[in-house]
Amino acid sequence: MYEKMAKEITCATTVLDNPATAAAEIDRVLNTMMYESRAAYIGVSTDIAYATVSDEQLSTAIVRSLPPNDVEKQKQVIDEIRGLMTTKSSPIIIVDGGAVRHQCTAEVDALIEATQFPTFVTAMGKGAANETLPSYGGVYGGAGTYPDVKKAVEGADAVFWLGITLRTSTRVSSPIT
Amino acid sequence: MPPIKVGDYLFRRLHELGIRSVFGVPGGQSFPQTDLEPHTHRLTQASDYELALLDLVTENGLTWLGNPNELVASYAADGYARVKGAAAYVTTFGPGELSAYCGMAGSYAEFVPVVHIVGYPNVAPRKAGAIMHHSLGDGRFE
Repeated sequence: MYEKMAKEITCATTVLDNPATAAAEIDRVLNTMMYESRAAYIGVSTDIAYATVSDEQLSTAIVRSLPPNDVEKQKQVIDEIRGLMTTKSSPIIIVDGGAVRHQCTAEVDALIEATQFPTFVTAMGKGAANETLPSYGGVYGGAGTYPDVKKAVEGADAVFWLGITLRTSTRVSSPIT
Repeated sequence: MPPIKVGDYLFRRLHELGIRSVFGVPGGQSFPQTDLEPHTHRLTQASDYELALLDLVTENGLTWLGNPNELVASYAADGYARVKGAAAYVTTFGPGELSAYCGMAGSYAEFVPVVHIVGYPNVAPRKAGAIMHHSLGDGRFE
């Protein structure tokens, strides 16, 4: 029943019980782990670990990138974001934990450089934005924020929140709606 | 294509993901069993749940980094994955793995790709619902 317990706190589990399906099961769990970027669980007994299988499947790599976006939807979203970026008078960027976890920090840097928008981070996003840029404004954490930072963030008329990870550990309250 | 061990397959996949060190704690039944062949250099037929699997770690370009306990292993792996993009640790069935669930849940909650590899009892005793070491003695293994 340990696997049942693990299922609640992982994105994929397997306990190998057949060499014929073992390679496919390992790949399924590892592919899901990389796709969801979350914990996974593989049970391997000694008899299965030493059973032999073809290494043919190894020539198909574990998928480590996301599938491409729907082109139409992507265009729609980009148009909407571009519209907000050009029409709003005091837009800001907040960099959050998802940008770090999903390894988008290079893209984050490029966006900050291109827009020159005032940029803030959450506790989980700390380190993801270049803090040496003049546009860097500090750490935003809801009601627990340093007053000047809070004023700057909450006075914005558009927030581009990258890698948003809403949780009370990074936001003491939820002032932005 | 040449045959390889399932354990080698697993560790080669980890290597492919950029993992170079595997964390964990050996565990299980490590005293000699009646089904242990006396002249085998590996515990391939022993009732131990994990030691023979761990022999394969270093044969696949990975370093074994043992930890003082399973919770430490789970958090060490979590930290490794945050830097390197993925991580793995190995514990034994039952008490070993249970000690690591706090870290495992943390990796799940914080979106960190970490695979927890658990050394299980062999297939035959699992399917027979045998009373195995580290189980609750009720024949449940699923």
